[in-house]
Amino acid sequence: MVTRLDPKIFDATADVTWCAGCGDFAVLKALKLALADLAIEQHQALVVSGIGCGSKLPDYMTVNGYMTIHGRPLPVATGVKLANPQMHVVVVNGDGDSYGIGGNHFVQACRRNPDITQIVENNQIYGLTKGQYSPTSDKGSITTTSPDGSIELAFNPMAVALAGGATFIARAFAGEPKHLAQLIAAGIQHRGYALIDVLQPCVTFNRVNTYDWYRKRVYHLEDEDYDASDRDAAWARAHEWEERIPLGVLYRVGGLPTYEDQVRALQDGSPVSRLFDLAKSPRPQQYERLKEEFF
Amino acid sequence: MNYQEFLGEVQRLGGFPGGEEARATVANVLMAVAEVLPQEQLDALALKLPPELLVYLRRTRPEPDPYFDSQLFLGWVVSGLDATGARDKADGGLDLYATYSGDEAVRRCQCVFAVLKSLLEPGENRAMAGGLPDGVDVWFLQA
Amino acid sequence: MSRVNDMSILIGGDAGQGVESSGAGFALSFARAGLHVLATQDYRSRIRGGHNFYQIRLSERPRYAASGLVHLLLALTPESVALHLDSIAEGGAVIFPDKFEIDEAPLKERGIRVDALPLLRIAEEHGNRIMANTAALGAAAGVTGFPFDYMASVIKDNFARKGQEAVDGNVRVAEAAYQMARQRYGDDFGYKLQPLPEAPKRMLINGNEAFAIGALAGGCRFVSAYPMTPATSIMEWLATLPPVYGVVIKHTEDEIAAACMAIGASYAGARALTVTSGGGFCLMVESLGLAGMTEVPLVVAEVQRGGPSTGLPTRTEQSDLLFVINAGQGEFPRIVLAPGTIEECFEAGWRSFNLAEKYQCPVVVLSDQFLSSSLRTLDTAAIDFGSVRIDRGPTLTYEEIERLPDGYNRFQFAESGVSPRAVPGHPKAVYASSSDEHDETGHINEEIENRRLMMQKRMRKLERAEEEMRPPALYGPEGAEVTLVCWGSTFGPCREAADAINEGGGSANVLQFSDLWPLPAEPAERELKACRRTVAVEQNYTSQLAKLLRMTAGFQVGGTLTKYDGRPFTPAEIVAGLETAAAPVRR
Repeated sequence: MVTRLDPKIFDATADVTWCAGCGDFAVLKALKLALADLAIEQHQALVVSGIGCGSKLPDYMTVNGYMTIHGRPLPVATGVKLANPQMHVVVVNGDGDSYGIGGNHFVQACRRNPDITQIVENNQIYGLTKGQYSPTSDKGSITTTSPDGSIELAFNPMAVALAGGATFIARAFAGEPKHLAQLIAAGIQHRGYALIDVLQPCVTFNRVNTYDWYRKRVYHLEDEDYDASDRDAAWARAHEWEERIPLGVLYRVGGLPTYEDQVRALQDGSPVSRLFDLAKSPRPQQYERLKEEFF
Repeated sequence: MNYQEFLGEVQRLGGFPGGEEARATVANVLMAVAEVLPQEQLDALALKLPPELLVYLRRTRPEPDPYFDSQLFLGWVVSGLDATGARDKADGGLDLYATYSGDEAVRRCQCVFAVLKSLLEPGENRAMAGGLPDGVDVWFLQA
Repeated sequence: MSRVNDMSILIGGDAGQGVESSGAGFALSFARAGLHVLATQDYRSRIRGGHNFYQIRLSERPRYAASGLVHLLLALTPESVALHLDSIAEGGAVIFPDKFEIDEAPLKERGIRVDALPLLRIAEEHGNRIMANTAALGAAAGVTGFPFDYMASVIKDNFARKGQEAVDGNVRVAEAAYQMARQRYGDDFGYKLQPLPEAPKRMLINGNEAFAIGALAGGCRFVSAYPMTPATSIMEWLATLPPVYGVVIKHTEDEIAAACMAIGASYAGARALTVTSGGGFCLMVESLGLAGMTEVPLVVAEVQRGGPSTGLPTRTEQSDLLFVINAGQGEFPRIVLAPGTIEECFEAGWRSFNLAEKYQCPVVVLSDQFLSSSLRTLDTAAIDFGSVRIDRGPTLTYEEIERLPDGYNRFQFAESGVSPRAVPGHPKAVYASSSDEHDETGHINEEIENRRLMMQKRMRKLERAEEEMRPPALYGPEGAEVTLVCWGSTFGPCREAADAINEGGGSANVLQFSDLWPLPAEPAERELKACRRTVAVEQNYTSQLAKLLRMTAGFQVGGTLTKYDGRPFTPAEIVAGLETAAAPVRR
């Protein structure tokens, strides 16, 4: 039985700028719970975020963190992971950051399968910039940049992740923090890329997708006779939205090698560990043989 | 106390310009309360409320979530509230987002809590406070 | 009357005819024979069709520039003759398959020999039709009297993986052409090639390879990049290393991911590299700011090519200097190095990482297509692994973190502006960094005093770095009448131009800038003011170095000589251009 840590070790004293009642609080709490439950200590994890309200999360935790630039936490996190595969790497960003500007990196992560857990704070709006529509806003959403209603279909992260080859796809709801924490823990434990899309009301700017709106629609896949290893079933459920929204693990396939598992150069050390060694003993003779090809 | 009186009292305490804002606030607070209280307490509360409000006491999951905290409570309270705003303390003008500052959100909760408490016995009030998350219980008792 | 070991051979043909591969092999045979070689390629941005050529300059002393003169032209297509007619020296020769219909009159008028040979027939007879260019190379060796053995050894090595039959066929074809050319034309061709067996063993290597080796020796074990001509070969060379070196290579989905992954890897404590050209660097600009703001070491190799936009993808230019120095919103420290020779590329490979970790900022190494892709013979000793230093500066080891007092702050204010850097993973150094303005702990902070102090802290690093940036180096006699002021690969043709001027009775020297940002302003100003007449020689339209010198050192050069047609300067062009290089700096 793994020793459970006290989640308070991840608490920080920084002044939180989220609005009262923001769903990000639930994500923050759930992440702390998940890390504590898995006995991952503050120095053993690195949380990478993008730009947005939710991306300030690492600022409010005591853990290694890197608040990067809009849309780019996934490649930064991938670089961290490839340089130091021992580190538990978690990406936290919003729906715009991940599915809009970061869309390409999102799709690549799905097919690349690095051992990274991504938590997307999906509030279907752009919060920090005060109320524009986002990639996951439902078609017809009336916002400051769509006064006549948005024209595009909402981005479907579940379907795109499934099509992209992701090996762990889950959806949670900020109104159910325990379930959210369980899914985050499961995602971190999963070897490979894990996506947890968190439905999370923006209490300030999104008047449509409220806690009540979600409450009326969400249901748990675990409560039904659902097989998360069935890709076709996952595909069908991934398209449920208007009346019913499935929560839980939509799709999971275990036992596949991660990206890092398949990088030969990582077999006997990592770029970080090798550099520490080289700084101590550079062994310049090891490169002489490389001159041969030029003669 | 009947439904209209309940709303009227909340509107008066909150200084809300319209009845709809009072109704929305009451609805949200009750839904939040429904998410956290143990079932017996919810049932007891239901007996004391005007019947029109019972629709808000239905919760999402059979069991309350053990990690439902004061922030999530506030989330339920302010979510979807189309507030006309509150006085901006600093400038005395109208701050459209002031509702969502912690103080204003708590104030709104307390308007509803005050009316609820007036319908309950002291013992029931204490019991209800016991069923609320940390922080929310204090708001309730001080309302 | 003949000249020995001082000539230029050009192989011209269509893309897809194997001009480059056979040219490179040919160049290697001369390098193995102890001659100095400088080989340049000229090719178009296409896979098939379109003229391209390979030029091999041979000498008994090192050559640093392309030559405008050709002494022996191997024409694999009829158009090659017309295209290069004007560059052929008097007494030079053209070898081509006798099947071609070439108008020999203009050649003969210029005193150029026409050596039509049955190259295609020889190829068919002794091997295969596709070996026609091997035949041409054999003929070239024959005409110059160069011993066949060297060619044979290179053919064996190059075709080994295609099987013994391919090796034998090519050797037979080459030898047959060799003998025929020798007999028909060899005796009276004025340009001879002889091996120098006493010469030391030399490598034939280009700037990209040298840089890659330097980076490897400097501890780089992570490369993330998106392929872009002419930088790609850096990544490819490192990707083909044996896994024992442990270099993690990632070909990313785009340049933004390339830069961000390198930043992430560096954040985690690796020496990380990304390589690109101007267009890719454009996409990396925001990431550069991230590295600068969060004080993460990063090395970017920017191998310039003709711009703007897609420009001239396979050709050379030096037009990204001011862009690279200024890239990114706001102000943050960065270092820009511009190696001028292949040896300097090797050094920049490892020195850039030391600087990046010492000052915790991005370091951009500017190269260009000419320097990156032209092959030159280098004494083995020039790639001296013993001279490589891995100096991590203020980067803390886990043992050092262990000994820290409590309360580690990643962005601790410091006199030098550089804070001790803990690699994430130790319990005593848990921290978050933010691209927002932040305080010493790394937490977001917008307050006035903190902002001022943080800005000063970061920019102070630049002041410190300036003290260790190399001042411009003088090549040639002091006090010369004219000083060629240059940077990057232009150093090569400039030094040859100065040599030519001095040998011809004139007076010239070269002032080469290699550390471009922060420009060491005081030594630069001193050196420039000591010159009698300065001419900035650059491969760009707006004389970017001249502008930079005016901005940082307050010095206005006397004239500028610019070239922006995508082809490298030749020394002759510079010498000729000096007559008219009184042009002021363009806007």
